[in-house]
Amino acid sequence: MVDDKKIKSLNQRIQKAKKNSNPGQNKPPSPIGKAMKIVVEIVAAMAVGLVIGMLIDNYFDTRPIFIIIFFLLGSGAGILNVFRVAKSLQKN
Amino acid sequence: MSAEKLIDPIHQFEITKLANIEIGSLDISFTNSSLFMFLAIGATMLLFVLGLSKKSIIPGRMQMLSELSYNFIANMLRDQVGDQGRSFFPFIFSLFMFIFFCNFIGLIPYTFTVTSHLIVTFAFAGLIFIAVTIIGFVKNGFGYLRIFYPSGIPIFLAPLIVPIEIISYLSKPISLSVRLCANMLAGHSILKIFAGFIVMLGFLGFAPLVFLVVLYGLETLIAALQAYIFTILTCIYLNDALHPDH
Repeated sequence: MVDDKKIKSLNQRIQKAKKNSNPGQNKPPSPIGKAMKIVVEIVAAMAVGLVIGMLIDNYFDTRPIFIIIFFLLGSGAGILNVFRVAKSLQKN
Repeated sequence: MSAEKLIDPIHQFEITKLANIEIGSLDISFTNSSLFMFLAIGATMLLFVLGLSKKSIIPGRMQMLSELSYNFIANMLRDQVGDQGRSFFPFIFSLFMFIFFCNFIGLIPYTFTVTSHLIVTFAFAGLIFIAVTIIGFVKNGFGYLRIFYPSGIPIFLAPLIVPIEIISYLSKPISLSVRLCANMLAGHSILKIFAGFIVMLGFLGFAPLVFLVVLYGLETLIAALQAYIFTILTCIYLNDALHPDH
């Protein structure tokens, strides 16, 4: 066979390329992406807490009790979100 | 032209009506936003029609691109959701391609960036949120509510933990949409401002010009990255709905 040598060398090259590329591994996200992810999480949770508090207060006419309570809960949720994102980033 | 007129970074996000369509009191006019949405869909279709028209074993450039994007999303879905996610592939794939092309078309001068409007991204995120919640309840029944009360937490902490978990859950679509929109809005505004500096400084304008070129490269990266982040977070939410115990 004429092509035997060629195929052999091709096989070797393929194996080399496979070793270098380590498949299945995604590139880690860039630092900007990480930072944006975390900042937005905390603000979004606070905003949701604030809106829920305002809605309840408007409904029961008890301003500002529920705004305060839900803003604090929202801050807690924001920290929880950041904690989860940081945990998932660490895993990668 | 006065200097104040040159730097007007918000003007590019203005919505203009191209054709007036009104049904009753409902205003559904065809705007520049709708036009560029159609352009994004057209670009996606063009990529795949051109790329997959030949179907050769040794792929050409266009075929390579379309196969690469398919593999990219398929691998992402398999890694994040597992085999159960297979049935959601068409949705995830169209979502990625649409946002990707909206972001990229917006980088061309004199175009309009659809994803820089919060209402567009929030419509996407809200739709995903509702769909994922329904999928969660369909697959797990009322057991899906367990995600609001993680196991191993003492009962007296429940009144504190459950509202926090609910707020955390409700904040998902907001963080998802604000992230994409804010990135696009901020990036395009900065590009516009620095482009204005070049004209204002005259001969000295080469300094902001160099910076603008670098910034444009960064903006290109962000356009791709934000489409990727939006899609991968959708996959993660989908995974949470399909396997709430993890």
